Amino acid sequence: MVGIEVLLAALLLGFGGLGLWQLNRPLSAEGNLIVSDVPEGSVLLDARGPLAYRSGHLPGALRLWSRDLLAFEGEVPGMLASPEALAETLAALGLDTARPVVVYDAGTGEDAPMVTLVLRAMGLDAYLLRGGLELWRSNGGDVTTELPPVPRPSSATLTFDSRLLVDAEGTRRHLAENAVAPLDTRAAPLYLSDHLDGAVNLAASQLLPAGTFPRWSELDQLLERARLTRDTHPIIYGDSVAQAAQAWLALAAYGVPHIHVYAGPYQGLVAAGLPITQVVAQAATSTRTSSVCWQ
Amino acid sequence: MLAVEAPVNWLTLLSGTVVGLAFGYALQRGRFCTNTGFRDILLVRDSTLFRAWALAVVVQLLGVTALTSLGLLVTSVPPLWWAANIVGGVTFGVGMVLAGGCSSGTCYRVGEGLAGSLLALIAFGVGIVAMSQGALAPVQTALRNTVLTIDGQAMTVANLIGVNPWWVVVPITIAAGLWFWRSGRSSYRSGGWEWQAAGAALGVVGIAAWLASTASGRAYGLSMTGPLRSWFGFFFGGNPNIDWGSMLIVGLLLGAFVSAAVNRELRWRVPKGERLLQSVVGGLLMGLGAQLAGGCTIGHSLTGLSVLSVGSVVSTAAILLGAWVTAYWMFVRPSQQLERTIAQAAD
Amino acid sequence: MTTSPETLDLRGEICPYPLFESKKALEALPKGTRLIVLIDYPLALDNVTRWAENAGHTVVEVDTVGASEWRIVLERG
Repeated sequence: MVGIEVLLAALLLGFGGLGLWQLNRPLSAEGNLIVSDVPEGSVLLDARGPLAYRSGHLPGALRLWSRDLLAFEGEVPGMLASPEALAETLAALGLDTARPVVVYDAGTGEDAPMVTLVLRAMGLDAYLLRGGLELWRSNGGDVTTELPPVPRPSSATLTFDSRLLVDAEGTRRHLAENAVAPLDTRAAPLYLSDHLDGAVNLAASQLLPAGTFPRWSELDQLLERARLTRDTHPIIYGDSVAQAAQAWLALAAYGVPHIHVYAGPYQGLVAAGLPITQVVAQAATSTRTSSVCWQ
Repeated sequence: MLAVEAPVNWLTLLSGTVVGLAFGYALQRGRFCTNTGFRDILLVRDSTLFRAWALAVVVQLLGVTALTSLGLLVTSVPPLWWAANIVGGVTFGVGMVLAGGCSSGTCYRVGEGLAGSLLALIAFGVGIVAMSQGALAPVQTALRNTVLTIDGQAMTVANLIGVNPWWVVVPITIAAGLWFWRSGRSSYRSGGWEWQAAGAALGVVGIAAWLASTASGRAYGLSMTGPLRSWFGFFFGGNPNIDWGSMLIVGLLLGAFVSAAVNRELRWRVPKGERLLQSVVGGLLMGLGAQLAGGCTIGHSLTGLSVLSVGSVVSTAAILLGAWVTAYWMFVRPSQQLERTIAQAAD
Repeated sequence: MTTSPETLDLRGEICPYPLFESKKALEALPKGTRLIVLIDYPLALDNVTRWAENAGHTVVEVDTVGASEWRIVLERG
């Protein structure tokens, strides 16, 4: 039965080689979240603040500052605005599910990941523009101060995905079901002083250093160090939604399928009375594994 | 629109199945079973299948170390929770001798039509679920509580003695190579692969598994326990995740079936009732032990050894111990008694 | 002394009983006596014949009697 053996050997080498290629290609190959060009018929969104927008933006880009998606009047400032308020904001910009949306910021990853995340949670077909305004400029792209025509408000009904963006109650429920791995994306010293029970630390600045992506294998190493794999279901939180969104972007681009992001700052979790570990002694590296597959 | 929460894609599932097909085919043609390999050293002083296993380990060890040092693959290393490794390993070793096959051996024999292996496989799954999420879960939690690490990293033979892995891999390869060189041919009458072919093929399957599986997001190579847990969890324990490893099992069963069918070795074989019961007990012990230790003779003694995990070395030693004690008690001692009786009768 | 040899039917048996039972039966026989073993598992065929040769017995013949079914004639050495 030499035929079968040759066939199996060829298939085996083929799929082994495919794996090798997949593991070592740059992240830019991941096209379902990040785009390098603005596709025809898409809506452009500038996620930077009003001053930056006025001093120059991509032609035709509408303005949606990431801060406009937050609420500052509550007990904990910086929580994500209510789904109704978000739907209203997005409808006023004329966004609907029919056209893809491309979001950019200065290229720092400060604003665009969060706007992309919120748009995706609202069911929109949102992508992030690789490199932001900086890369656009250096590639010789046009920048204008001319304001685009005021968009016609859309009448699309947008539904909020409460699995992608979870509130404190949702976080508590996920933790109780023991199905998620809390991921703290704040800087290491903050994590070391106190964090959510059972959380591992992977700073957003490591996952998305200055808005650029590490290679697959480097990300692999980072996740390995934090005892995460693409199989774990992380629940991400940070100092702000914007910080958590950076980690979300990196993990989602990397192919982690089930990600939850806490829709508020870490202080919101503390205020909601979620179990917090106060670390007195020096850094304890967590060696207990949760859902990493050894077997 | 492109969903962010994409389920595992078809390519992942296909690649798991393909590697599984090759795995099952190689197991069936190579008559490979670590149970037989480990046991026959003691039972009939025959190391043929043990050499096949050792060759598979060495090939995979070389391949994985090379890929890792070239920066092409990042591996994950099974942890050393020594209490769980030892207790689980011994339990697994006892179970596999009773069931007449290790986890992979049991699986490919299901593909060949062995009724005893089918029962052992079902009991294996019951054992896994009981230990991972059922009544015995506290045992697992307790025994896995102490994890020994080096600087927060899983312990490997290389980082334990503080050297580059090649300092360990090269001597092992040379020693094994000399042993393979000196050992002669073994007689095969059933038309299967010789041990050299079986060992090399399984080593290559192991390397391909590391690459394809890691690319799918499952950070490990060949294994049986986790994938079986995913299926039994899927049917009986509320686990919704079917991943690369799950498809490996599907491919294995299919590959062994195809191999047995085209070589006219497919046959429904039913042993007597007593033996079926023995298979069930053995399968159950294997499931409990493998889940506790965090792997079986594939996950630990093939894949775990390829990354030099100390946990896998300890587990493999424990499995050998359990298998040898059981084989001695069940087979060696009775035949020695028989020889004595015959000698007395002759006097 | 040409009595027909004893037959041991080990079809359906799991590993390592074919080997173990053949060993037990053959070693209980006087030297030069033959034993017929029926086996239906390829690994057991390899196992039993390899053991018999290594242990100084003779594998007189191996007949394939059906799909994955063999009749082995062993002689006590």
